Amino acid sequence: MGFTVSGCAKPNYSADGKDSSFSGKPGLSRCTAESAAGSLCIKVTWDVLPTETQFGSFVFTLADLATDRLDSRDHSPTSVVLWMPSMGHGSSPITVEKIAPGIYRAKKVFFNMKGDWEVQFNIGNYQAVYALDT
Amino acid sequence: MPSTPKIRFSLALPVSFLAVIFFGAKPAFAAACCGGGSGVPGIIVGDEKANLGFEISNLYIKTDVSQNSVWRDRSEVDSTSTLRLQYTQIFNDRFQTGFSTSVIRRDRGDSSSSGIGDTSFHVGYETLPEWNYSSWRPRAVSYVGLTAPSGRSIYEAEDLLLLDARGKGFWSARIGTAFTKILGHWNFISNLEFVRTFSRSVDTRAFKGIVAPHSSASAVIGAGYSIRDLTISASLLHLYEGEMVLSGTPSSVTSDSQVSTLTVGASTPIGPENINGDLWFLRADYFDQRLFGEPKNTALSTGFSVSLRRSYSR
Repeated sequence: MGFTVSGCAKPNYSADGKDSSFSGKPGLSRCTAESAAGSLCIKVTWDVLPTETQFGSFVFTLADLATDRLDSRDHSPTSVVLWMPSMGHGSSPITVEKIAPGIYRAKKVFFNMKGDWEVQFNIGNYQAVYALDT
Repeated sequence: MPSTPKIRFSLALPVSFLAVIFFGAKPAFAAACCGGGSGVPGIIVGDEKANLGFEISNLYIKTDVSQNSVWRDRSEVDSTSTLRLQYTQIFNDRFQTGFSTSVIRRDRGDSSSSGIGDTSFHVGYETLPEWNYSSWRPRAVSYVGLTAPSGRSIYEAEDLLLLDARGKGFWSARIGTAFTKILGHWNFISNLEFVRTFSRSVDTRAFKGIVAPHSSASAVIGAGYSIRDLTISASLLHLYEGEMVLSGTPSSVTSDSQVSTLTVGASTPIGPENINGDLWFLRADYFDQRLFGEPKNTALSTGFSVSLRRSYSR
């Protein structure tokens, strides 16, 4: 066990100061997440970044990993789970709505504490993870 | 029962610090994100026959620390108010048993939630009694305990901010030993404890499966100094919690976590002793988890507590 006490604490604040930051930035041309098996590329564009007091939302687009073309196949059921792997719990009553074939919007995105989170996409038989740092 | 005449060193002032371990230290605060309601009972390490304690504490979570030990301050503080009831009774001279339970209210912004926290029981045995004077040998009480998940955990929480998570959510067993030593006006205390937490099934929106929790360990060292009726004390608690294995959908392994808590406080008897020698003690503590150690994968809090304890003399 890593049972260590080493005197006074040495705070190591996140590089962006004390505010939240998201590694997934709007307008990414490359994949935000790739399916673990298969060839699905997921591109995330944030509409509204979540804060400590407000829901966020983002649009995610499915594309073929090789051709980068929109994947408009029906991949239902489609769901998104917010998961904090270091703590072993999730967050938020997140909902997913289909905007157009291959294009979805996740709403009510909320992280109940700061830290390392995963946005887990379950898209038909495909699973993909988008890791971010809130 | 030993036939040796027992000479117990009843120094009234240091006992106000030493009488019940954990009233000054704060091991009850979980290192994880939510629900610090695991109750740790008071262990009698003094000369009392019984102890009845009431404690009001307020803690404020101000900072989250990631698994990589990166600190992030919260713009909105999460506060937890706890009213704890604790009772411990000596029996058969060297044995003791006790319980601790609490009511917890958590607030964040305009949201709040309240309810009972986890409940703890313990049985202890005075493994190193202090029948003869020794300048070095400490008194020791070893104990085993059980914590019941009477408080709602993050796995049953319905509130968006998890404010209704007031407990750890698992049955756990613990074993530990508390050591104390009085030297003149000084008194010293230490405690080592190991906790084994039992797995359970979980069915939530985000996860369905079995959660096999970590084992955890904690160590406390502390010292106090008595000036007339006042005892001033400081203690340092280090808590380490191992990783959890989640088997289900999705499967994952959490990170281990650790946090150190510095507590400084003062204690004094209030009111006169009654004919049996029973006495009330008032104690106030400030605690801070941001000052010592290398916190990891945890939420850091500061706060204060005020406790009132009735000490029943043998």
